[in-house]
Amino acid sequence: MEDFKIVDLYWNRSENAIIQTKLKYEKMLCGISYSLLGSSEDAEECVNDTYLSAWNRMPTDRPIYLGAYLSKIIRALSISKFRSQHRQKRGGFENLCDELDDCIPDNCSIEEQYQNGRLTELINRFLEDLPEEKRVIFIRRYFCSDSVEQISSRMQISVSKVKVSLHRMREELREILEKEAML
Amino acid sequence: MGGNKNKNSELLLDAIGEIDDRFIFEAESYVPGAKKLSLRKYLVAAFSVVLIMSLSLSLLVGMLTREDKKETADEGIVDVPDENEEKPTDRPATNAPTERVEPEVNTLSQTLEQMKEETANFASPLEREMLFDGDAKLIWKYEDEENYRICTLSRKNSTTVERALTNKKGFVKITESDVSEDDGIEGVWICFGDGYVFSPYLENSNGNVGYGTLFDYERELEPSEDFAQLIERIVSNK
Repeated sequence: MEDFKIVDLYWNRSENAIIQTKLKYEKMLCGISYSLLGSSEDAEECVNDTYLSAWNRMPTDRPIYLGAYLSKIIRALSISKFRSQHRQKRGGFENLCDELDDCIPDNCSIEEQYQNGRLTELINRFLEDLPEEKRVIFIRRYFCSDSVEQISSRMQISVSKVKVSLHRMREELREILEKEAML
Repeated sequence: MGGNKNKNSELLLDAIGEIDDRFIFEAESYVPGAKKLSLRKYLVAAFSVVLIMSLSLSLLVGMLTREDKKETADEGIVDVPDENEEKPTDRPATNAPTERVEPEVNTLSQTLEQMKEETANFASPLEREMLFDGDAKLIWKYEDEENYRICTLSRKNSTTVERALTNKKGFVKITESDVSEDDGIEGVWICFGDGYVFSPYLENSNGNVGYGTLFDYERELEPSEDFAQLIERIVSNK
């Protein structure tokens, strides 16, 4: 079923909305959550919370890309779940944070930029300027939390190419943050 | 220090979680290598066809002229100047700096305005059902006409247009005062056959993308010249 029809079901408060969402997006949502949490039970719980959250938000929101909308919800829920759990365990979330450390310029905080939304704006601009393939690699890694191997097989490119691309993009992002966010 | 860095990277990760929906959509729907491969294949194929055609044409011309010469020589008519032989000496004059007319820089409105006559057969009243019939369409309306111009898009063209609309690359943000009031175009819309209607003059945000409704709008974007050329190519080939 097309996204706009599913959104209509949410707006009409039809429970079929959840069924159709499950049919279309459950696998993708589970994948995002599992990559971050490393536990299928937790991932399943987050997926159910995502449906509930979408159900509650939908009469106000009218997403154009339902998949993207749900991805954002489950990602936020999974990260929040991870944070509320023990931090000693090294999961996908921690690995991502380690990698993203490369993007942070030394001796500075990006908290202010994050608070006023400027950080997301900068990232959007950075993504806009990337070639499509690189942009997809970046989003699959740092938004969808796919592993390098998963990206490599999904995009039919070598693992080393994915690694090199990610490394270069982190460098580029770091430069941008240094130049602009720190002004 | 390490803790601060870690906090920063978590903030960065949170910020990435709020990126534009269209990037996520693009990453979800990305087909590996399709664009690159097909373009390369297309270029190679096109180049090969051109090469083969020009080679066979020159061979054919060469053979024919030789036949002609032979015939005239056989008939005893000597000293007849062979036009084809003279041509090469003439050619540099005609060939040298060939007058290549560069396409003029056109906005989307100008492009559509220029195509007014040639697209007259697309004129039709717009019915709501048309937006839901599964066929992607390019729709536009001239200010001085009652009917809309409705051009059905092939699947390939609709994908190309959708991609251009999603990326909005080269589209320039404008204010109301930048809009030329009398460019003759009331509106341009792209419908993907499932009810969704996008306008290249508007950002893809909630409220700007609807389904089932064609709305009056104030332009927010000026589509890129590339986009105008893409539309021109699509419509001209119809």
